[in-house]
Amino acid sequence: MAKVLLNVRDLRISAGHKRIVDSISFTLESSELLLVTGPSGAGKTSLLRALAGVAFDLTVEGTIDRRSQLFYVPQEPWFSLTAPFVSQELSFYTGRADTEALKPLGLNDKLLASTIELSAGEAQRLALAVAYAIDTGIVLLDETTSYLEPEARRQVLEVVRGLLEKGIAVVVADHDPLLWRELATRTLYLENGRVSFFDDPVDTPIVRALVDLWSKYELRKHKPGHEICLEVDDLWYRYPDSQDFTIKSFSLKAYCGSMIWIKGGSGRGKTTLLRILAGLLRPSRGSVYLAGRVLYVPENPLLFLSEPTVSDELRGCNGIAEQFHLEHVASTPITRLSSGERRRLAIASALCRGARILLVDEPTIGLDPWNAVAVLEAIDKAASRGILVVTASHGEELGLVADKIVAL
Amino acid sequence: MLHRLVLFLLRSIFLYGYTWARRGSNLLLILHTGLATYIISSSPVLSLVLLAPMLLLYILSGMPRLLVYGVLLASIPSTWLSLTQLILDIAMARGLTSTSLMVFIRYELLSLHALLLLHYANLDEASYLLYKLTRKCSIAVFPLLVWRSMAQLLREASEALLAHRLKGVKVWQTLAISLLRADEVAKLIHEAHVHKTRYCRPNPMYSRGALLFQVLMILLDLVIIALLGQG
Repeated sequence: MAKVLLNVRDLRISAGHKRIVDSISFTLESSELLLVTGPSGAGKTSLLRALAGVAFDLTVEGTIDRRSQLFYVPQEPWFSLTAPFVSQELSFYTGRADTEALKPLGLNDKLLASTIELSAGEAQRLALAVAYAIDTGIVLLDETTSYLEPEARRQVLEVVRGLLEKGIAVVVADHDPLLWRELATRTLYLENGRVSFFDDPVDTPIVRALVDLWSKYELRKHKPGHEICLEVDDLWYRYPDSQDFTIKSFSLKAYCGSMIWIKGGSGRGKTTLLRILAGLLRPSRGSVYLAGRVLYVPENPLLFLSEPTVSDELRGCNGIAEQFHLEHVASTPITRLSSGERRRLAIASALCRGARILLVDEPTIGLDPWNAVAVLEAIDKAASRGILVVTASHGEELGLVADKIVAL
Repeated sequence: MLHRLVLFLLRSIFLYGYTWARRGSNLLLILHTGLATYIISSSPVLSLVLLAPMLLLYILSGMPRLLVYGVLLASIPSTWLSLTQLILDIAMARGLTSTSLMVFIRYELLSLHALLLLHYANLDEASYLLYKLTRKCSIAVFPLLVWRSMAQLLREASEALLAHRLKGVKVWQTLAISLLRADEVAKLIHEAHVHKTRYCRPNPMYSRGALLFQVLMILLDLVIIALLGQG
């Protein structure tokens, strides 16, 4: 008989006077996967943090009975790793530098690498590898596939399947319910604080709305201009501690008023290329020509933001908060925004600052489809105003507005 | 340019992966640094010999760029101090003496040895010893977490400085925001590690090659000290 590992009774979560989650009760047994889904800002992360007992800034009422050890993998991969090197991360938690845990996640060639040099997707997979290698009863995964390309997502799914086969109970928060359909035993849908359960993720309102959304929208309304805004000629880049070139003989000519999508799996050099274009890294060989003011929104959007609140960051940008669905958080400090809200705010802020060239790393990561569409529409609009937008991403939705796709 | 300076600092300390040379003994490394400090303060000229094993270690461990960045970083305090000495000599009408050169060599070598300690510290051993002393994973995690967080913060700082410069934000504002955010980052790291650190099983990792090299460096130190005693 399956063992109950987590028993939740009448759980309510609030931030100040705002109710985030209204009365949830459920039990979770060994080998069960509970999928938590809903739009951005619905409270998925808050629920997981409450279950993990780390929602220190929220009011959590009700009963959470954890009958087993718990392991929590948060959404932001930058903060979840402990050790400076990949093998150290594993050996510190497992007592051995075991490559077996890295193989299914495609990280076995990174054993001696520095963890700060890992891409966000690789860091997320390493955090999951630790969860796989240790002896725990419950694993909580927050948007664990958001930084991954389709192949790496499949690898993650296989690792989670392995966790379930070991008898571990898993709670996954994700805004893509279809991805988890074959593994989810139950789906918890959150919207505006209200909770409903579904047996099949395909029945959740987000899936129905998703089909409507993509069929309704016609993107890529802009037409590229004729003036060259960016020219990259035979670019090579090698990190100082590497033998191999990350970027090899890369050339690109991009016109103002167009959108360039640099695509490729995690660790292929997309972010490196954007950093070179932004001027953070100097090319080993080759040249970069930029015609006009450049703005750069890094993969971690927090690094772009420079004002204390949303309204301060968007001061003088009329109507953009509404366009990016940020009007309800106008007076919220940026440190209290959800990951998706921070990303939308950074892009909104960049778009209204009069740049000729906008470099955006992973513009749609961690966003629900509605917000992803809002971002794509804003990018399309910016391109029609003559701005060159260069994005690096593994998100296939970028193809809807891209004039040129560059595969790395 | 500040973002480049931060990137330079990052590269001076945190380049390269987990090479065999980073699995020596911290005790032997500290002993070598102590003996080298004695030699450098006793005879700057003779202490130049210490550069040979240092150069060899960086090359053999496949980390030569770290030495290049290290030399450049170390030259900041040593150049500053030797120039001060030179100005003082000229102001006091002593003329051009070798004192400022000796000051340069002394502080360059001292700084390089401080960097050597950072570059080749065995963090696994430090974590293991802390765990043995306290039996607490939350304390054992410190050497690894502090090291990684420093590297991560420097890297993020260089990226934020560039993004803000392009945005037209003043440097003082970026620095003020970075300080405010440090609290937020600490909270996020804490949240992520509340449960994770319960599973710790620290284990010291050693490499025979690293231990042998450290012993050889100490033997060379002792030979130089013996020569100093005779001189």
